Amino acid sequence: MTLAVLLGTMLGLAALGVPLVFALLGASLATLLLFRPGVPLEVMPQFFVGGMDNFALLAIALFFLAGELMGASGVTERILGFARAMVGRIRGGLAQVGIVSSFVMAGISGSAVADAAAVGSVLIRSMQRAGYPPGGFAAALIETASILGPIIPPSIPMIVYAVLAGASVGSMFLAGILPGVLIALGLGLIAYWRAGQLALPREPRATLPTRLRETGRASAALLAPVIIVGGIRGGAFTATEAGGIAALYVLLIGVLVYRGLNIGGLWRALVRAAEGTASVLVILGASSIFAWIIADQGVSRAFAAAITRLDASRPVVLLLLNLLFFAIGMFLDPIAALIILVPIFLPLVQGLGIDLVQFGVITVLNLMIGLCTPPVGYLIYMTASMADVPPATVIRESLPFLAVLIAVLLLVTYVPAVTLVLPGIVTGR
Amino acid sequence: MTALEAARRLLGRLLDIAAALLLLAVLAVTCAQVAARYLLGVPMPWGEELTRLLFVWLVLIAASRARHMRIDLVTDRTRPGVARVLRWVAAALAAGLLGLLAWKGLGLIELTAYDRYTALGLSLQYLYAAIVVGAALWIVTTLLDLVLGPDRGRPRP
Repeated sequence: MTLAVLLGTMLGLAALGVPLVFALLGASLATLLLFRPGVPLEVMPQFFVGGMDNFALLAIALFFLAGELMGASGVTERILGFARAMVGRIRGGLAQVGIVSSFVMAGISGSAVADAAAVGSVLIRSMQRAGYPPGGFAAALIETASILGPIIPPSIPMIVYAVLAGASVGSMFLAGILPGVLIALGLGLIAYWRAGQLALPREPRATLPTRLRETGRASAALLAPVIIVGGIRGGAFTATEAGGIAALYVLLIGVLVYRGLNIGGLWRALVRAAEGTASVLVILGASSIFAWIIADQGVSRAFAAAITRLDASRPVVLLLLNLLFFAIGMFLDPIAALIILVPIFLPLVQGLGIDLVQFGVITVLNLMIGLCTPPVGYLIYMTASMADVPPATVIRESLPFLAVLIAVLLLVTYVPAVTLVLPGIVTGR
Repeated sequence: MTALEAARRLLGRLLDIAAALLLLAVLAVTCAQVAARYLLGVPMPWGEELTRLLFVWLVLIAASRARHMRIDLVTDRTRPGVARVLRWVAAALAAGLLGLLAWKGLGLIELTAYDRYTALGLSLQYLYAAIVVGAALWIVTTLLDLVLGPDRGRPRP
């Protein structure tokens, strides 16, 4: 009953257009007043602040800043130039360029929305100029490829998961690499196939000197993920410090090597990164009150008991969890969904002997796919407006690409090696 | 431009400056910590606490200027009159909740008068002051946006 009031109020308020942070806070307050009148309301600001007062979460602001600085310093164009020289010749040229660019961008930025904005704003226009059909193909490609942002390290949702589940941020980052490569390859195959059907043009062949030159021009950007992941795993610095070093690194190459970054660009990047961080972190704060009420209700135990009664096998439980997360991800922002779902299901998952890191990648990938599904798929509307096509066209065109994302999700769910091999090698387990 | 709009612009600029400087400070202290450890061989035990405190302030100051995630499926499809009512309801709810956070945050400041950060030595009151100040500013920007309409000078996400 309490849970119905809590979830019902939250979804009702959110549906009426109340910002998610206030829908979460309002539902929590209503539930506390109705069912726990004895609880002092000081818990509201205490949990709100407590949810964000965590050293690991600082990494979010710093990786946001690194991503913004990358856009402001002209790194994006270098990455696009590199991708064009490498894969432009392949069937579906610019589409392949989009996938490779998203992949490389993902190694510096940790958010799908930032990736889609950076790559999409340039590439969707190029595709339309190159004679791509006016349908939603270009938008659908950028939309689904930008999911790589939070799968390839660094990754904002993976940091949030690691904090919630008590997993190592470094292991989470490593675990995302192989699924990210699989997604990129899968999307590339679909683009190849669709390019044949739509008779899409190719880019002219790049000569070897051109390829080498473009690689050199992009090398500073290509090196960033090596520094980030290598530094964390080598034990040289924490994930948060890696964020600081990544931001400083992009700042320095933006000023010294690429020379595209000036004071105005730095200032705008700081403001935008601060505001992007704030909009994620207030949801985190509000969700931690919400999650505390859910925990107080013993939902976690009830779920675990229900699953035990069902006597379902591990594969079936994983399938059910995936279906539930997918349904929730269709409506809820990934960060908010993580904060609410992870504490509920973590004990159950641990009881079944599923690895924390693997469960993290499953959850993050599943919820990120929700950004590409109606009715509340932020990436659909964002890329549709960039390409100036109706969202329904983008949704239709994205179906084959979504099939790739779902196939990789199933692979991650049922083949632990996909996520656990890399962290295992590096930590020597 | 009316006086109210000028006030909103000024406040917006000040908030942006504060948020940017706080983020710059978080970056500087984080990098200084790594430098201190490797270049000078002197760890900075208070660095982590300081960056956390700065970070909470950063979030709560920037929150009043950030665009917040919302589902606009219903509001985009209703008649303009209904949409306006919904906007007023959402703003009233936001202001009420933020008022509660600020008010109870004052209570937390009182409760934590004798609690200190271990390494930093500062009072925990500085942490909870962030929610009081941040929520109050957020109420102001929410109400200004309600009266004046959405702020077009604000950067897109």
